[in-house]
Amino acid sequence: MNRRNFLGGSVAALAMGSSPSLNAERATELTGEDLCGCNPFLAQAGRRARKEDMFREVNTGLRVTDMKVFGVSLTPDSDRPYVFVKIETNQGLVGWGEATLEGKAGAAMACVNDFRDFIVGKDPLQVQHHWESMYVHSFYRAGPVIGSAISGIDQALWDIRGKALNVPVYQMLGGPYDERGVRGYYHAENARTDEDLAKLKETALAAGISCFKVGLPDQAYEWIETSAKIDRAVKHMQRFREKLGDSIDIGVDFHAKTSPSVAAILVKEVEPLNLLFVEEPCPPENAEAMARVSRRSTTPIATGERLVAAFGCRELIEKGIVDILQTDINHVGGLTGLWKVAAMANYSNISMAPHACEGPIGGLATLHVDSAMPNFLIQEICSFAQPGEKERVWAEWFGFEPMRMVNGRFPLPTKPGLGFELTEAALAKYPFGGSRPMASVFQEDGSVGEW
Amino acid sequence: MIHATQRRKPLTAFAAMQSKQIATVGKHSIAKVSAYAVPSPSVKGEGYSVLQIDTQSGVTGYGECGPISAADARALGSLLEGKSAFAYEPLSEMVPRTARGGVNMALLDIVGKITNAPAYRVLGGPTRTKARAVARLQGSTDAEMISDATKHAALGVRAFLVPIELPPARNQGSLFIKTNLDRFNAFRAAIPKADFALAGASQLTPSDAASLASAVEKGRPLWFDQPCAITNLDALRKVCDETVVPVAFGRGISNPGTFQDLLREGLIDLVRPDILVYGISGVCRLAAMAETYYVAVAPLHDAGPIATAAAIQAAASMPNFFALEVPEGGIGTLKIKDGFFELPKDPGLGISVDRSKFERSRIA
Repeated sequence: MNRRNFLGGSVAALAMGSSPSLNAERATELTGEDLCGCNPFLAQAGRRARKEDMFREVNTGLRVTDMKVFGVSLTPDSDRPYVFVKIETNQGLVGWGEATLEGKAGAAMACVNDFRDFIVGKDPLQVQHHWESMYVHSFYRAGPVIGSAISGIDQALWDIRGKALNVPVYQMLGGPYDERGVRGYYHAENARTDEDLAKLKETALAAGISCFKVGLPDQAYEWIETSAKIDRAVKHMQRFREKLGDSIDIGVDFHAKTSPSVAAILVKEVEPLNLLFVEEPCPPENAEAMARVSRRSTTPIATGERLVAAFGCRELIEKGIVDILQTDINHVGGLTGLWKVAAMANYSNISMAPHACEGPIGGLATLHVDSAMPNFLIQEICSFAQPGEKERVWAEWFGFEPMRMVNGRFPLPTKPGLGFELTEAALAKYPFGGSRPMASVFQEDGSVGEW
Repeated sequence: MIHATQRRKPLTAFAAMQSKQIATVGKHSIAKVSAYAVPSPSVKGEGYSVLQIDTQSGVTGYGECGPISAADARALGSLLEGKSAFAYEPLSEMVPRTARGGVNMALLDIVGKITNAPAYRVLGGPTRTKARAVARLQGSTDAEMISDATKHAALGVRAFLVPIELPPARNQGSLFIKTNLDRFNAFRAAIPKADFALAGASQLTPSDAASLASAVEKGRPLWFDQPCAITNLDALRKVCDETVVPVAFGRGISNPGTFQDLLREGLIDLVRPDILVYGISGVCRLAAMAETYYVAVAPLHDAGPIATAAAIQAAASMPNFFALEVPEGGIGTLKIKDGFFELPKDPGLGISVDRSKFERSRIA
C-alpha cells in the first residue's frame, strides 16, 4: 500500500446507502416551518450543498464507508462486556476503538450506532473536527453513554490516522517523554494472606513492578462509620505498606464507597503510610465535597474515571482540588478527550494516572496519550501480576500480550496507528451475552450503598 | 525502586533525566540546528530568529522565535542533536523558553514532511477550512492608518486592529474618549464592510479602558486587545464588569497559569497566546483549556511568515480559533481571500521558505 494515496487529492463523493440528507428532507417536509428555531434540519437544508463540499479544497480521498459495533463477552455472564467499534474506509484501512461502559453496554452500542449516519462518508483524518461535532451537535452534553460512544469512535479514527500517516499514534502526539515505555501498576486485591503479600513483593522486585493498587476491606460504608470499621480499613492499608515495604508505591481505591465525612477520617489516619494516592474518596458529582476531603489531609487524592470530557474536569482542575486525575479513555472522549484533560490538568500541576479497567483496545490507546503527557504519573490496568484467562484471550486476539508490563512499564506499541491488528473472526468466539446488571450493594439496614 | 526515588527528585534533575530517555535512534534523529537573525521591518534594533532543524534523513523544518543569541543557538544544537524529531513535546519543553515555540514549529514541520501531511493533519485537523485574518494597522495618523487598512483590504483582509490614541496622562476624560470614538467611527466609515478591534497595548488604567470600551460598545468592536496591564485580577474586573466589549489578553504572558486565572475569573473573552513562546502544540493545549470556558483563541506573534504559517496550522487543529494577525513583514507564500487565510495543503507548515532571504544573517 502506498500511504501517499490516503493523502492524495479529493475524490468524487462516495455513493452511500443511507444518507442523513434524506432524513433532512423529510424533516423539512413534515415540519414545513421552524417555529421555535430549534430545527437544525431546516437550517441545514438550505446550506446542504455547501456543507457537504466545505472541506473539499483540503480534504483527502480517504472516506469512512462503514462503522460496526461489537458487544464482546469473555464469558456468557460477563459483568463487563466489551464494546468495540470498527470503522472501515474506502481504501482498505480500518480502525478499532473501545466504548465499553460497565452495566450499560447496550446503551453504549446503541449510542455508537446513533453516530453511524454522521460518521459514514466523512474524512476519518479530521478527528478533532468530528469529536467537536459529536459533542456539540448532540446538544445534550455528553454523560457516560455519549462519552463512551464518542470515545470508541475517536479511538478508531486515531487508529486510522496513524495507519494513514504510517506512524504510531504517540508520534503524532509528540511523544514519547520516556522511550522506555509507560510506567504502570497492577491490582493486588488477590493477595489476601501475609504469604501472598510476601510473594507479591518478591515478584514485584524481580519484575521491576513499582506500584500496586488495592481496595477497602468492607463491601459498603455508611454515611458515618463505626470505630471498628474505620479500624479495619486503616489496618488493611497499614498491612499492605508493612508487607510491601517502602520501595513499592501503593494506591488505595475507595471506589466512592465512603462519604466525604468518613473518607476524611481515613485519609488523615493513613497519612503516615505515604500512599501514592487515595482514589475516589467520595462520589464524583460534587467537586466541593471532594475538596473538603482533599483539604483536610496530605494524602494525595485521585479521581476522574467517571468524568466526561475536559468540561467535566474543569472545576477540579481550576481549583486544584485533586492531586491526580484518572479520566478513562473509554469514557472521557477517547484520545482527544484524554489529551485535553491532561493538557488542562498540567496548568494546575495535577498529575495523570488514567483509569483502565475495560478491554485491551482502550488500554493500548491510552498508552499513546500517556507517553506524550508532561504530567504523566502512572497507568492502571485492572489485571494482577500473574496473568489469567482474560490476558490469555487478549493475547489470542492480538498475537502479543497487550497491557503486560516489562520492567514495570508497558512497552509502547511500535506499529502504525494504535499498534495492533484485530479481526472480527477473532471476536466471534466471544459473542455478546447481554449488558448484565451491575453490582447491588446494601447497608446492614437494607439501604442502598455505594460500591 | 528507581521510579519512586526519581519521581521525588527536583524538577531540573527530572528534566535532565527525562531528556536522556528520548529516542536517539532512527533515521529521523536531529542532525543540525541552525539559527538566523531577522530584523524587524519597522522597529530598529528589534527582530526575531529563524530556526532551522535538519534531520539525518535530510528533512528540514523551520520555526520562528524571539531573538536568541549565538550562544543560545549553539546550546540548542547540543540539546537537540541526536534526538528523535518526532518527540516534539518533550523536546520543546526541554529547550530554553526563548526558543520553545520555534523548536515546536520546526519539529512539527518535520513530522508533517515525514508523514507527507500538513501539521494540522498530524494533530487531527482540519477543524476549519480557513483562518480569519486580522491586520494591525500601522501609521502615526488616522489618514496613514486608513490608507494602511485600504491597502490590506485590497489584499482581502476584512478585520483590523486599530491602535488607540493614548491619553496624555492617567484618568483622562472627555477628549481622550472623543478622540478614540471619532477614530473608530472614521475607520468604520472608511471601510464599511470591515470589522475593527481596539488595540490598547496594555497602556491604559483599567478605569480609562472601561470608560473607552463603554463609549465604543455600541459600535460593536470585535474585541478590545490588551485594554490594560495585567495587575491583580480584581483590578482587571473593572473592564469586564463595566462593559460587554470582549477583552483579549496574551501579549507578554509567558506563564500559562495566568491564562488559567483569567479564564477562571471570567476576565477574558479571547485568549491570545504568543506562538513564539508556546509553539503550535502549546497553543492547542491552551485552546483545550479555553474551550471549557467557551472562550476562543487568537494566537499572536511579532515574527514573520513562518510563525504565521504555524499559527494557521494551530488554527486548523483546534475547535475554538477566532483570528490571527497578518505579519508586518508580509505573508510570504501564504494567501488571504475574503478575510481569511487559506489553509496550506503542502506537508508540514505548508510553506516554502526562501532561505536566501536570511542566509547571510546566520548566527549558528
